[in-house]
Amino acid sequence: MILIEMKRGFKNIFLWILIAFFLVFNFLSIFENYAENDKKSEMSFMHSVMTGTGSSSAKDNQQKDEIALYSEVEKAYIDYKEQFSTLYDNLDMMKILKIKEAKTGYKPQGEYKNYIEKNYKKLQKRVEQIKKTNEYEGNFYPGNIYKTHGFLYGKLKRSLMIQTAIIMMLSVLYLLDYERINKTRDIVLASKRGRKVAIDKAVAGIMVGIIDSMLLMTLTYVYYFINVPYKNLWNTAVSAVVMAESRMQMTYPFITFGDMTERKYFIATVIVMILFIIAVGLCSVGIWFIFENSYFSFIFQCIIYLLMMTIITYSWCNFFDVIRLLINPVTLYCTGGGWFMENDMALSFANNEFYCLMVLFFEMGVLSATGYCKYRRRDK
Amino acid sequence: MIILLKELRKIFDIRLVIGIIVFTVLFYNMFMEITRHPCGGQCTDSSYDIPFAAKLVDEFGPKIEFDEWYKLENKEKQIEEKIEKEIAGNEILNSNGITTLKELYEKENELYEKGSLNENEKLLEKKIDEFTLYNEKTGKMFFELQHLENIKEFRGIIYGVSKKDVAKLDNRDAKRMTKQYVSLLPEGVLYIFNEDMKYMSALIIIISFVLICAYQIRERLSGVMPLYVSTKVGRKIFSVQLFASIIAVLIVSALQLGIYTLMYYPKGLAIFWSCENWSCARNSFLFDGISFGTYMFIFQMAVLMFCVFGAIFVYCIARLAENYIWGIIFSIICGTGMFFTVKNLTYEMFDYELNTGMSVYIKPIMIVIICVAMCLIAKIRINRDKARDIYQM
Repeated sequence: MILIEMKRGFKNIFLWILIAFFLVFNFLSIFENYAENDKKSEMSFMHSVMTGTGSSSAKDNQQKDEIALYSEVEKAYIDYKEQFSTLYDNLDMMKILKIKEAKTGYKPQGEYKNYIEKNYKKLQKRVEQIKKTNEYEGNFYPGNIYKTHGFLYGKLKRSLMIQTAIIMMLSVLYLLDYERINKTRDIVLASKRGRKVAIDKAVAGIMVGIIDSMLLMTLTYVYYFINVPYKNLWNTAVSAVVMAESRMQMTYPFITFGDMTERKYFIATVIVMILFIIAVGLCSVGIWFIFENSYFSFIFQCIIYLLMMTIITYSWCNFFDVIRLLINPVTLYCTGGGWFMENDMALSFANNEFYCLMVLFFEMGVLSATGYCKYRRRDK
Repeated sequence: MIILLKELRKIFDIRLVIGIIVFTVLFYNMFMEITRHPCGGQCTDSSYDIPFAAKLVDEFGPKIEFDEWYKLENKEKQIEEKIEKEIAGNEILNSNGITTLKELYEKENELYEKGSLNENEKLLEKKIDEFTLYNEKTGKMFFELQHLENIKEFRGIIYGVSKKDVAKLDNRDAKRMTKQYVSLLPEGVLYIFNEDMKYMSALIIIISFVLICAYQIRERLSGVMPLYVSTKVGRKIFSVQLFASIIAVLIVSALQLGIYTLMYYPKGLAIFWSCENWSCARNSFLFDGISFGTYMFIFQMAVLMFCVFGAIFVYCIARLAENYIWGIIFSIICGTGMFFTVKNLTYEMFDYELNTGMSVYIKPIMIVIICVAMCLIAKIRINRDKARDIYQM
């Protein structure tokens, strides 16, 4: 039954049109940043400089010019690395914390203040570990110039989170509301098996949503990596100095909670994104069981997410901020560019993304179960 | 008429209306600059600039002639006297030899130009910053002084126009841009309005799709379409539905724009409606002879026109959707297209584009062309519906 429902979901041509639309949007965004005019050749050139794979012998004048340009860019890159090589020397996470508090006006009180300072002391130990193990070395696209991390894990990822969430909501709602729209609901609900079909539809909708979302993500990331080559750069640590980008008017490296290479970071990000959209799917299931109308369910969800985005900005400067962020479903979206690293002061502890997901799954699980109980009672 | 009213009742489903009200409040909170005002950063240095500009308009009127410049200078003197009183009462500054405003500025420059500072100098610099920027009382006065300086600095200058383009100006434009007075409208207010109109268009488009798609899809799913098509009177209902959709969007647009305009009162921005539509920092607007209030009205009418005629497009799209999910997908795709179109057409619509060579009228003309195109589409749609056959459902 699940396979039949999944087939039905995949046959919805307009969902494919929407995926194509989102894909064009993402391609345009990547093109604007990394492929427009000479940007693409600049990125490949930079890649060859970083990985030392530039040409070494000139056959004609054009290649001689290229070699001259290669040497120039190589020198500029070495100078950039040298300029940023001292970033870790005087890096003091407690000072970073004080500056952040001053800039944001966030003033934690009492035990909560001690808790945040304890987290930042752990981050300072992590800084010492990075220095000891030379994790800060490694080649990558200069962060402050190309902002590849900020784009890939910030802007692009946030767009993908919204797009995949919409796709998941529509996949689930399309299948769940199918019988009602086609006026076969009464026939389906007349039997015991028919009444349980809603569960199969929910599962099938989530599966279709995951597959469609993964397709969108795959094609987007493939286009990104075509324009921004990452070959031989996957083992560079995310905490490398060269990757550092300015944020909150400060330039300091990304201090990950654990040893994370670019490869591990990317895989972890994709896993969290997939889990997030599954949670969105569960939310859609729960809300549909309550409203039993795909249109109102979609609008209600959009309003709820917008409401959560509005209230996430209010803080109390105490432990309730941690709880508030963990229970808010849009926290992962808002902390988008800073997963698995020092980011929000209230969430300055390791694996906070997975804690957020756990709470999210709990909330959405309760919502789905409540919705289903209401749905079942209604049929009897 | 009765059918029109009944169709309007169908469109304004109470559940959707409640959802739209909640959505509007959240949308305003998240995207609209008017809600954030006064916050600084809206082409302003602080949250004090625009309220101070409002006080100036209240005191001196919407503009200040060059032969009335002494009024601004007197105001500046008043603020400087207040600051000097505060400096005299500040022990930390006094102990560092700062007793007047002039000494404060001199010390500030000295510390700024010095390469590296010792501990005492760093502390003094921090105290000066606190006094001039972060202290609520004295910081406000310094920002007010800065605002007055900005007005003085741009007096008589063709700001916003590059030197290369100045040569292109004919006598009429040169005369327009070098007036013998300065409008006291701050640039931040123009910024707030332009940014908000961009998001206002998005809000109205979203609401149009939400209302009209739900309405049309509900009609389709309830199975009344074949009934409509099978009689002459029934086929006429399609045109009534189209008009009802247009009227619904007109009501929504008028309400949204009206509420937005009314928000200028509690925010203290209504006082700028009498000012000429240009600021000292930006005098490249074509319609700078009219008041800001009139400019707001013309601009909002252009947005209203686009959204109301856009309702025809929304109606046609909604008619294509066979179920709610298709309707949502069509809304996302078409709504995004409409948003980008209206954003590009209305953003700084009447700004004098010297460097692009485009006529300043090109954007309003394109809006008119789009409205005419929508009328043609409506005509085609109505004719098709009149000749509709039941087998075409």
